[in-house]
Amino acid sequence: MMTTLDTSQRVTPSADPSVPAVRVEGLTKDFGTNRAVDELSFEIPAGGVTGFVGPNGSGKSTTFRMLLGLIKPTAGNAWMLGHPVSDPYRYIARVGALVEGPALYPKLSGYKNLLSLTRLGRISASRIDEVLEIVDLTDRAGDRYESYSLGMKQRLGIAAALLQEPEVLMLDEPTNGLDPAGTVEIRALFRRLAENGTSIIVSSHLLSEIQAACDRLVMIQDGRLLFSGPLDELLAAQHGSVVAVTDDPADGPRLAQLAELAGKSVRIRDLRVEVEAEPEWSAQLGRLALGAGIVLRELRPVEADLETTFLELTATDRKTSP
Amino acid sequence: MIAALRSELVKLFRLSTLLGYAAAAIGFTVMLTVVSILNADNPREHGPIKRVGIDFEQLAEPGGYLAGLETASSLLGIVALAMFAASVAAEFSTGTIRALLVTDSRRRRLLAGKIAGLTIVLVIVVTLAAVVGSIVAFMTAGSQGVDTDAWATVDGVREGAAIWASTALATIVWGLFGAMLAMLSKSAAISIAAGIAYFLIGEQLILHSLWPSTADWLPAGVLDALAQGGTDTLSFTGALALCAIYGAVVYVITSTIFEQRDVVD
Repeated sequence: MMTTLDTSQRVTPSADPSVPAVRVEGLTKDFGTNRAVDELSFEIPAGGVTGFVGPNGSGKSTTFRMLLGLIKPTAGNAWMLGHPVSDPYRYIARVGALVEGPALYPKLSGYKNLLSLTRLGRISASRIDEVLEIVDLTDRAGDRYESYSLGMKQRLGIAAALLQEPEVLMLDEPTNGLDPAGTVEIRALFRRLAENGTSIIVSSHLLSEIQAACDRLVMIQDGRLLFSGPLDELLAAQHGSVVAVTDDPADGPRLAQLAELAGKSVRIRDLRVEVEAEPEWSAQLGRLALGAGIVLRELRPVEADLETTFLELTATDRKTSP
Repeated sequence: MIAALRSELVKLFRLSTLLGYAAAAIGFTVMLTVVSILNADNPREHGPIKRVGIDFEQLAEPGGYLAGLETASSLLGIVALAMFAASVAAEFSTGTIRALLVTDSRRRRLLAGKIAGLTIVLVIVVTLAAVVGSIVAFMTAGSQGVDTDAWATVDGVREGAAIWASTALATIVWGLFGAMLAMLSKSAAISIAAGIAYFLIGEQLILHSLWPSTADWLPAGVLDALAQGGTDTLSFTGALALCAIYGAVVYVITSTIFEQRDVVD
């Protein structure tokens, strides 16, 4: 288990909360003939935890790299903490990042890896012990990085990102390789850092994790923006559903017909009748089944979740794409 | 640049790294020192390793105790090329370049710090090779009848220092070529193979098949001339100037590629 620490003394809140952590306007990146990011525009305000989601190859890492000055945009503009990404030196010392997994020197110990980075960033070496304690690697600090498990490497990568006491922390798949307890601790760490003013931007393909950890969302597919805004706003706009399983499989289509007559959209999957409706409508479906003499083995409301919403949005986008 | 240098030294000042490169450099130097002294009564040319044919008279000169180092300069150059290339390429192949650039995005300073760190380690390696080569020379010269009277004199120390300095300078330029090739290919294996292929084979082919008149202009020849303290056709000053030009051009190319490159590794 990672040590729970009060990070209030370590995190420097954003100098000006009115300046967005990230602003992106028409950001585009081509690799040869392949367009990885396509006129992306969004804004992430300072503070809070923002999820950056999209399918594999959707342009998440490319966007991260452009924001960090690792690659140059083909077109468009972006600003980090109010500074253009064309001049990363003006903001990079205020940003911590873990891009596409941890990559540190295999033959060096965890401590020496961090020492090398503190020297490069002109950061006090005393910070090393602090971040090692945060990610619970103090006992293994003297061991070679190559001897670490994937989860430990991930934690050391997060420690490296925390060295600069960042105002913006950008982490690409930060919980890869972590056990469930480690994942929960990292999520709690994000919360504590966010409460102290750090803007956290987390990319992950684990949508349940994003839903649990984030209060804002940027969703992209094929390099294009699908959604940007508060997570609650996205979920509120989505319908939940009511799922019923009839005792007699032959009753499924009858129940579906009754729900359709009530004006609802219905899908039958295996023996499950899924009615697109607010969760409260489950009582009405129960009454319809009772009135028709249909015995239900299961009846439950399903809240709209990010996974379903994501699948619906990406499916819609695929249908509408030329 | 100082911050980048201090960061680089954490990576470079590892016993296994230093021992590996030092062992190679010392091994080549000791081997050629012994061969030079043992063959002093029968000197002859040996392809690209031109100075293996050293006679008693040359060995008896004030700097004769470092004849092995001078002779081994091309091989030390390959060690330097491999060292610089491996270090630069590893940053890309392991993805550590990302961690560096999100800590300090000033790429030219980052590269300058890396090259400075590698240069410090290289000079240490060449110095160790010179010291061990000298000890071996003093130990073996007597038994082979080499006159060592001029070695332990002020002139001997001065001449030895000059050989050490010119060898170190030449190997640094070799290293810069290695860094450039690694920046181009992002692969240690490809850059080292390409470097060795050019310096040991490619340039010989150019000289013997295409443009023999470029002997005093092409990099391997110029670096060899610098390490030897000048040749009959290229003075030490001329070799030093050409090496400086080669080093500067290669460094500018390397840093420009790095500055412009998208880091997708």
